[in-house]
Amino acid sequence: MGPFEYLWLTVFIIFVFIAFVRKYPNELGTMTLIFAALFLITYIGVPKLPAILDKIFIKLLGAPPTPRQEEHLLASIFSLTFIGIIFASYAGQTFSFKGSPASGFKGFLFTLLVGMINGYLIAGTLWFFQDNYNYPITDFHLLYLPLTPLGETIANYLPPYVVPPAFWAILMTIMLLFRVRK
Amino acid sequence: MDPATLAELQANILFWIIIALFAWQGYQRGLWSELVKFGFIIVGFLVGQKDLLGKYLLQAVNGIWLSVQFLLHGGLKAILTGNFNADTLNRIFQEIGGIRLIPRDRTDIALFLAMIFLILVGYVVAKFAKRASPGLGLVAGAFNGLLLSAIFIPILPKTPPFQLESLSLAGILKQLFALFKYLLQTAFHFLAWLFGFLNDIFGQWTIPILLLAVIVIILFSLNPAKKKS
Repeated sequence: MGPFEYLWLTVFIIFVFIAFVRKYPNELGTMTLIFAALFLITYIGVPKLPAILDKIFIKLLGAPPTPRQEEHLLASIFSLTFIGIIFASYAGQTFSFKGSPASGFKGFLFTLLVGMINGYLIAGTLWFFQDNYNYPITDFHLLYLPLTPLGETIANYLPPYVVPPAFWAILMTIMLLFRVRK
Repeated sequence: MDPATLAELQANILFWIIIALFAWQGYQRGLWSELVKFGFIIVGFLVGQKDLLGKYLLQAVNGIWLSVQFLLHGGLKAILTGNFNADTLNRIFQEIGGIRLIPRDRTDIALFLAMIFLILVGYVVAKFAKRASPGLGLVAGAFNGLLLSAIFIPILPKTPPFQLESLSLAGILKQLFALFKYLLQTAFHFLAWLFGFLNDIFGQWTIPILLLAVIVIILFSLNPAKKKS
């Protein structure tokens, strides 16, 4: 496989297309769940899970995991949990927003913006789980380091790096307030 | 026809097409709507010039920002507790330093954005004007088009990014592709430029603020569902 940012760009584009298929009121529901997931992961998961993992390892195996094992485990747990939440937000009865969406060019623009935000949040967060834990996926030779200069630049703007954890909760609250308004 | 004459002819045709579009819009919307737009275009233009209203806008925005910083860095506490002496003021002003919301090297961009914002507000407000005198609206619309062309044409590149050299299907397709590429590149450059400008002002809060602003605008666009009777 090629540079990291190509994978990121592919995932991003897929979610923009999904937004055009589902229209933005449905995508706003997914966005709400992404905010909730990001808040839980960045506010509780990232700071607390390493210590919990250490305790479980010591209890079961008598020794904590090696640093690289821990990075593999954390990146995998967070990625799978996040993918699970995203899947749940798209599957079955979805958490969509009520009301009539804007039509014409405005509707097109809003759908594009929502798709781009969801793409950025999903692809960027999955990339963050790799970047934050020193790219465990490269051990499987699926993707290669070092990042290209463009990749290095993008990596500085991954969602959990640029948005404080509590801000995800604020965004989620705003979304929920609009979701329940009469 | 030599290339220079052809380029001039194309530019003239494009100019009259733009004026015709504005005139048609003026005919559709009526005179009052066009007068509202005219007012906002003039105010926007004056605000966009540093020597005219621009300097006052910059002073006002930076002044308000300084006042907010003053209150946040202990000014409010000093006022409320009555501890409003020279030492406290010195300490507060030392702490906030020569803080400016709009840096000196970004004033031109800030004024340009303010001008665009005011013109856009004019177009939104004009939607609410009552339609009257379509004939005069047509003339006023054409005049607004002329005014906007006079403001924005000097900003455009001196040489056209594409030129219709051949009227064959392949030639037209080639130029359409060149136009699409140019528009895409311009959009990317504009977004990068806008992000750089916002980043200078808001720093690490740029993305959270942008995210919040976009989401709130989109959420407000959803009209609440009608109740079933």
